[in-house]
Amino acid sequence: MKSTTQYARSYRDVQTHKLPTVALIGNPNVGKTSVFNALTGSHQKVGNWPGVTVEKKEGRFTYEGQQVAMVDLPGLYSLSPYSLDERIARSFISQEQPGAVVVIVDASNLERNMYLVFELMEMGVNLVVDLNFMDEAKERGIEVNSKELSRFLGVPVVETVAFRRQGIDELKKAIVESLQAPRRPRTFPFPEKMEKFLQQTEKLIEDSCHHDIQTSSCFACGECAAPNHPVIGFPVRWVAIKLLEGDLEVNGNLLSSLPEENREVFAGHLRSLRQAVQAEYQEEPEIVVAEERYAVIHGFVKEFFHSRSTVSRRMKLTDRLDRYFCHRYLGLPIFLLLMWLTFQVTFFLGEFFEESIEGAFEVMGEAVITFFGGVGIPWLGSLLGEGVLGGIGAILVFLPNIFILFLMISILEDSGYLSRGAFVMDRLMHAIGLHGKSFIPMLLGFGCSVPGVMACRTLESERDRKLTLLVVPLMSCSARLPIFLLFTSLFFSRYQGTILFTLYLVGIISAITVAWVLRKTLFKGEVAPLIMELPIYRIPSPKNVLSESWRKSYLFLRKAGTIIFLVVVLVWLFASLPVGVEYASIDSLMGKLGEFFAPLFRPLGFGFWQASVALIFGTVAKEVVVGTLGTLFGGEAGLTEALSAYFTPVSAFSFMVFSLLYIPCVATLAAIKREAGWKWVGFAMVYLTALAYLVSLAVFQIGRLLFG
Amino acid sequence: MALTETLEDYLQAIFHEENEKGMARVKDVAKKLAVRASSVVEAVNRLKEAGYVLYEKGDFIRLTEPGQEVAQRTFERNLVVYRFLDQVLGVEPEHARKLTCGIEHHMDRQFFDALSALCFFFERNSDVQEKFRRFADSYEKGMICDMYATLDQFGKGDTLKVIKVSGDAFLRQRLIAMGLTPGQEIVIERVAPLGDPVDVVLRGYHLSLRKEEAKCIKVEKI
Repeated sequence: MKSTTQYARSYRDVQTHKLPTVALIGNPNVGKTSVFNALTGSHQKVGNWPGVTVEKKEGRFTYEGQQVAMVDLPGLYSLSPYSLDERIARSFISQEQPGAVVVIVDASNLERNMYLVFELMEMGVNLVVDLNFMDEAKERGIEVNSKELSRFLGVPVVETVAFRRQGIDELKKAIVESLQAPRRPRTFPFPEKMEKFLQQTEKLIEDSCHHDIQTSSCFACGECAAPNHPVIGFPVRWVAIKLLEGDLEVNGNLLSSLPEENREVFAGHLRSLRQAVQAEYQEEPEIVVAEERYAVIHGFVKEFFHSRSTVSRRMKLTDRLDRYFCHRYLGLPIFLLLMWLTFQVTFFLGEFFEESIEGAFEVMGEAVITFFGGVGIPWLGSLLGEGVLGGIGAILVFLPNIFILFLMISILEDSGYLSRGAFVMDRLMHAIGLHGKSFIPMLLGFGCSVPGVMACRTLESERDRKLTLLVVPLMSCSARLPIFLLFTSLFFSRYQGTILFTLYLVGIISAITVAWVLRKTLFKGEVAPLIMELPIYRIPSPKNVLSESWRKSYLFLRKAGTIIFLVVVLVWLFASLPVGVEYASIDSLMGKLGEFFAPLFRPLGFGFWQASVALIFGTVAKEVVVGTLGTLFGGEAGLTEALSAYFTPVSAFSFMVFSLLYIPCVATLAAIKREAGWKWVGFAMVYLTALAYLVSLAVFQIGRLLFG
Repeated sequence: MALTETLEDYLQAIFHEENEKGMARVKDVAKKLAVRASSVVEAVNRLKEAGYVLYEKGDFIRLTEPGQEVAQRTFERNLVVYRFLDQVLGVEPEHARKLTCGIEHHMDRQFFDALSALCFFFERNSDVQEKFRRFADSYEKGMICDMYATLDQFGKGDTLKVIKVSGDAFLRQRLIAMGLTPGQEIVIERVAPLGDPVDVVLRGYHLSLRKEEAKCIKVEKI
């Protein structure tokens, strides 16, 4: 567990006092976040599930003196062992044994939602069913008698409209009550034929029991009367269902709990049972089980939810909107237009704040330098003014961009449009091995890689997410533009536009190539399928959108800020030491470092220390490259002359290509760290530098041959 | 009179010997059918009784006119069956020859005509032939459901019934959990602008699937 979090302290309280834990689970798009927010308010902390990049949200609430810790599980449609999200949820329920599980159900879309509920009931967990979107359900003519339903299921049922906070107090009450008096949900019989096979499997499990509770190898048989299977932690019936379904995880766990000599016999019996099911139904057992489960649900929904199946206002609206958003010819232009708007709002509105922040920090920095210069300790002034304040400025400058970006993405996601975007773009993105939703991070990458990398969270599959965030830095961000503008205006004044366009193209082609290569090598194997719900459109709740965006931006600042700050200060130190040297001159450590690296860049056409130093500074922020060159070549005036002397058009192009492709700025690396971990930061740095080197080498050597 | 299968084979052999060498000798017929000469003499005597051949001891065997006719007919049947097995079904030549020997005896005129027509039809429609071969291939590999169409073959507005969901365990489980169980009705609501993915409605909600996934869903049009 990561400890540096906003609510670390309160969370530690949660742990030491052993608060009862309640897990929140549900399908995607059922308003789970609103329920979570409504329950816990601002008492939230966000981290990742250990070892993976799936977000884990925790919070707590108090109801009539009883404190409860909530854990938000990933949104999922079923509890199979196949996807990461599902494994996380399942192992949380089995290993952490939460006191209760709240399952959020979209009351307006019952059949599919009840599937998860039934799976949870099979698990025998202490369940609370929350029928959310009751307003929408009523409009669709669905009438629920939740009291009767609760009696029938054997679990409390609460009706809510979470984003209007309706029913939240009732939900809190139900949670606390169910913690005080846990109940086992009713066991639903499968149709007779299936039930016969299930009972045989249950018997098989019970027969393999050693009746030895001390060593906890009792198989929860009737004789030992334990409610749950001691190894698997769930009722024998659930274990039986999973074994019939051929669930590899349960099967493996169970087998390894058996004495070695019994394993083969057990596996043999199980195999013949599965074959018997297959022979009876002419269908794989796992499909039969799911089918029967749906059959039970179908009957159940018909009985308890009296539906006049009216078409609600929102459904009509969804239909009408999709006629345009997913239209054969209009779909793509509308998507591009919306993306363009997102881009514009994020970067141009962001820029306004960005400039004021930059300006403010510059003024402050200068004031500090002047002040300490006045009192005779200029090095402290430089440390504070250029190092520390520069570091803080470098972090804060991203805040407006990131906040607005998260705002835009939250709106797109919560409204339901994001999945439409993926729907229209998937064909293109899938061709290069990415997902329809990968388009958004890549597009944002043209503005700034940091929000681009962060936008990768909207991708559900870990593979897609990592692949996308590794190629986002290749999209030429706006901070690289000053470098391109400086060099193209000097060396390619007649073809400035063409050269600029070529550079962007080099980035895009590299991204496509890298994605393709990675998909064939590191990310080989199954491509995540696209099985995506297109939810009905809803108006996002401003409160949710704002608080989510703020929370995410804040987290970024905290986590990435430390890294950015450290690197900025470190670079300042390198440029200022040993004491007394001119900032970043040849005599400074930085200059020495540049001198050391320079020969490496000779084959690329820019083997002089100033270029190396500029590139090292570029890892702080790409826009710094130009400034550094300016300083090293004696200010704005001297720069033009010096550059013309040092560079040829070919080496200038090579330098631009290198700046485009090499290690992204530290903020991007920090964002990659946050989303995927250090391992991938290392990988990105190595592969990007290698790619930059090779491409620049090719550009320079071929260019030299062609143009002399 | 009707001939037994064995006698038909002898008649065939004599027919071939006559066609190839201009005459049929007991020795050669025995060699061709891998039997003893005495067996050939015995069979030839019975064919002679039936009036299909002329034969005197030490002489050649000669087909009579009815004998010619029967042999010719058997030969044609043989050809058609072999062509059917070899060209339409794609049976290995050696195996096809063996099978032909068995089948040719059990044909009547109607079967012969129908089979000839079928061979001719496949010859004229090589695309159908190709399609059939592919189908047969997957059928042999146990993918019986290829008899049904898959979801990706339908377009906007089609109402379908799910027959079976195939694919690897992960995909199958996913699709089933989303409610695509056998017997479930689905409607193709729309196809994405670039032709992929598709948007289907089932159990009161919209689900989008790539054609790759849709290929794993066998359906029947309602």
